[in-house]
Amino acid sequence: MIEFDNVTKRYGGTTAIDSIDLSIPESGIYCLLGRNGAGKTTFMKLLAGHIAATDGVITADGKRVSTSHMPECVGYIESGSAQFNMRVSDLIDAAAELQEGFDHGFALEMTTRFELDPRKKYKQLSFGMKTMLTTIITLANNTGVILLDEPTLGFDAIMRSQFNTLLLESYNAHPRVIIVSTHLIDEIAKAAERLIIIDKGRILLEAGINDIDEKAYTLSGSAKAVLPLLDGLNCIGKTVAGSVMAAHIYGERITPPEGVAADRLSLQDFFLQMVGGNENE
Amino acid sequence: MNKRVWAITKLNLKNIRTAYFITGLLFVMMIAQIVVDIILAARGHYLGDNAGVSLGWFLWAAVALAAVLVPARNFRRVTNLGGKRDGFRRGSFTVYAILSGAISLASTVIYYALDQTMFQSGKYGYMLSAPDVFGWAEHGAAAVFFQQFAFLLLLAMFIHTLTSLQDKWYGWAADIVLVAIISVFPPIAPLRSVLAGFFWIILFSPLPLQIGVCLLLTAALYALSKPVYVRKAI
Repeated sequence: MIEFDNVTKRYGGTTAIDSIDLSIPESGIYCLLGRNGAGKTTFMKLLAGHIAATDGVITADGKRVSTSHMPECVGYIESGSAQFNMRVSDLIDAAAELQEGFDHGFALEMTTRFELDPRKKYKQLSFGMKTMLTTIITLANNTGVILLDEPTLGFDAIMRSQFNTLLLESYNAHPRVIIVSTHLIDEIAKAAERLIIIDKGRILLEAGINDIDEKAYTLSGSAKAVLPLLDGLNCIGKTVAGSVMAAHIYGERITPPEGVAADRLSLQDFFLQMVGGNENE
Repeated sequence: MNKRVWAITKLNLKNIRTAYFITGLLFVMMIAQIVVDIILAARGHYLGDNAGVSLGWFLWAAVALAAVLVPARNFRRVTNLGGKRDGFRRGSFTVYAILSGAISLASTVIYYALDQTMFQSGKYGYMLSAPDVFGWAEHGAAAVFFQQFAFLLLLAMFIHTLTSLQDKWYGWAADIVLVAIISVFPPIAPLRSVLAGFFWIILFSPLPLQIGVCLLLTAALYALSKPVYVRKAI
């Protein structure tokens, strides 16, 4: 469905996306994780045909993506994007006219559920509500690929929880590729099936969330006991405090000997180990 | 017309309030001037030696301002609602066609209903209007409308394309070339005649030539805007 073939994007001397190869063959909710400036928005803009790749080929639904051929099958609105200062209901109506297959009923239902006043003008909305409106407009698009850039920015905890429910409802009603870029890893993990980690413009990992849950763990105990166990394991980071060591592993699970504990590594910690400082010795 | 292009046209027409406001303000100010003239004439003041500026000119501001606001403010907002580049280009052209048509119609009505009537009454002096200055009135009301329409459409497409280029180096280069033409051409006789010849064709030339050249240049600018929008980042 989506193919990135050796795609690079440079802004002057800065490489935002560096020779990415990625294939997303089937529907699902994908979580795109990365630090600020890792290349998440550039990745989405390239896929939506908003900007041109410096090198490489992107295809969506078998068709080559370019700025001259913005793919019909990709729905994307940048987070914090400018909107016309129109009533919420008028903006939704306009989006429905502009987007093929826009689910008007779903958009209206979401505005009700999130208590967005349809009579309010865009500039009268709070930051969180503006983000919500953008998210609703993007999510109501029933095309094959939906890109949500920081869709919960400015949301409170209740709104974030409701968003996850609605994301799943939307996906169940119209299964398609939904790529969600976010920093709130553990929350999106409740809805997402797969995780894509991007760092310094490169894809570090593309794997199923369940797979990560199974393969990511921490071995902790005395450094003397833990260190010999790491041979042959994919250690993604270590934390040492005095004589105690915690080694973060991504790979095959082992049964640790007595004196060493094997604990689940949260997605947040897994992400930190993948993109953060690997060692703290 | 494509449903999505029409949606973009409507969005653009709704969201150029600054253009409507400034044009409306100018229009109201000029109407106030005319009302003062009428009151003065009614009180016996002789205004027959006065030369005024027609209301129709001020309506042109709407087209010029819209051609700046649409690409500068509305492009990203339209794409943020799911609009595509080519749809925006086509929708913008439709906006200029509608505005040029509406303003040409209003200006033609003003010319015959106000400028001519006031002048012929002998009380108010001469009203400087586009159809008289450019000779469009020689062929009747339809010519006044169509010649003005063709020129306004060309003006709108020119401003639109130039504004669309401003986020790229070649937009700045185009500005420099324009400034150079405006400042260098007039003092040099052969270049001045080239410039004068160009303006004569698009404004003063016989009806078929004026309309034909204006529409041809408009089409060329519309075609040029395609690669401009393909390269425009969102």
